[in-house]
Amino acid sequence: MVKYKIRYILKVFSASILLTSFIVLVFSPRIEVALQSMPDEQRQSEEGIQLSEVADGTYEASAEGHNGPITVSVQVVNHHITAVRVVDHSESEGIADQAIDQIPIAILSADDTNIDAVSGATVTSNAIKTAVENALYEATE
Amino acid sequence: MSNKMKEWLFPLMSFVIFGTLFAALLAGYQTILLKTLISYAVGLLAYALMLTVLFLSSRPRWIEQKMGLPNMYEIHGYLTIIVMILIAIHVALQWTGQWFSRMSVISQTGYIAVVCMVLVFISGFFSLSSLFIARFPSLLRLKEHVFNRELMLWMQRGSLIAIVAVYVHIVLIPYLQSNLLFIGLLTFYTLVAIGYYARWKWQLAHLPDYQLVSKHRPTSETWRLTFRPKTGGLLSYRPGYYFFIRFKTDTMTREAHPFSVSSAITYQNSDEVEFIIKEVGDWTGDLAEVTLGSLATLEGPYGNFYPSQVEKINHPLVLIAGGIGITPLLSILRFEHNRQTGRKIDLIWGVNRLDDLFAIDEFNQMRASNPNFRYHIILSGEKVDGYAHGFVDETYLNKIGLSDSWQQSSFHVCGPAPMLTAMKNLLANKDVPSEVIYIDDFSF
Repeated sequence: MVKYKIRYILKVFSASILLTSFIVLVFSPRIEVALQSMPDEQRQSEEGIQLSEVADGTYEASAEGHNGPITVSVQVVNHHITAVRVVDHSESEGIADQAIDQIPIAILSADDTNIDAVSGATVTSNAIKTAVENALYEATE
Repeated sequence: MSNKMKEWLFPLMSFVIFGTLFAALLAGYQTILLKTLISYAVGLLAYALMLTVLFLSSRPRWIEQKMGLPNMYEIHGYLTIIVMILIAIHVALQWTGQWFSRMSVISQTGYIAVVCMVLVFISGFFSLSSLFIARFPSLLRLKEHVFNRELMLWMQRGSLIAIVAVYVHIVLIPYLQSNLLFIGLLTFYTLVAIGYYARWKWQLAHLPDYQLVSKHRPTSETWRLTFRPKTGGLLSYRPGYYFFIRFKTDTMTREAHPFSVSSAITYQNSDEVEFIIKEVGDWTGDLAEVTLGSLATLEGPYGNFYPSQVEKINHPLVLIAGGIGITPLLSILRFEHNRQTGRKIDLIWGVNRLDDLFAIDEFNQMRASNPNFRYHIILSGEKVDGYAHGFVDETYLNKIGLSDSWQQSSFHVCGPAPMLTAMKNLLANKDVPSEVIYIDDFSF
């Protein structure tokens, strides 16, 4: 029935890739995809979060922002930050949006909290960084 | 069911499982590493395919009727190859180079699944791709000595262990635990696939017993076995259908093997089912040891070799058999003989030697009661006076007067793979509509 065996396998593969791309595209307005995290040797944690001491898990912590606490959730797998999400905040719309969108992805890309703040939203940026650091400190073994 | 549908039914099933799971997964993320994204996509697709393959391996009858078991097994093989490739990509992306004992439980469960799937793949390769294996004597020896069939059965159970391991592997990932939609869908799909498989296994374990009531050799290489239900009535089956026979005696393995029925449910034969089986290998070779009275179960019936529309329309039948491929055709002949419709039937039976023939007396009786029934025998391995010599091909079919039957008849063909291919090509060249061609392919 299936005449060209390798072609059939390739067809199923192509269909899978199309489907995956379509789903990612649908979610792309809501999700940031970071290209890569920094290689281990380039990572220079300033003072101290030793990711090597953080066990796998998802951790939550807060830090004070402009209008109140900002709560983040951080996922660590194999001593790398694999996901960062702002779970809760009461920052002003507009000004803080950029920081809330960009800081998690910057932390994720750098695999570190040692990153630049978003200009114009420094307080929110730093609060997210601090919250992530808090979460990781609490998780340190 | 169109050919396109047959090819894509099971991949589509996997895509629905994968698509919904992947979307639910992404809904829980705000930022994700590209590498993680690809790794999750590949892993989830592999899992969706594994669930589909498990469902497929429980031989759902409602799909088998439309698609045929050989096609399902073929798709099963391809999907397993795709699963193996996806697993390799997933492992490569997540590779940390750590020893098993130092890994997290998440990684450990993942690798347990990988090992199970590799074993399943090897066992599938050895048990299903006999045509391929037969070309390499060293692989054939390995199959005979190292991989006995019982071991293979255990290896196939590995796919169930792999699915459970992957489920645990995914559920343990901390970030996903809070994604209730994802975990809910994952659990639902897993339970449905395992549930369907478990239901099938339960049904197999509770099949009624059949007793072997007669056993003899129609030729030096074949066995004619007749079974009667130990309790209750005979399972209803149509002509040319097949059952998986599983003996419950110590001399036979517990593995079920598929065979076409040679009997038909008729007035004279309402409580027996008969199989004619050629001795070719390990399982069929062991039939010599089976004693009368032995118990067996019959799983099925499967097949679609003689659907009800062929019975109703009453157009001419052309039955083409190669060797032991006569079995399901004999079933059709007996059924038609019993109906006494006087239907025009041509049986063409190609065999190697004169010694391979049997049931000729029965054919003569059928011809006596139905002048429209003719049978033609052609020997390929020896020249004997009174018999045609050669293969069943266009020249021969024209010679016996079938040249004007192409458009009016339905064709039922059963025999070795090269013959089936030749017949498929010939019938396609003669513009015979595919709806009236019925092929019983058991060379897989």
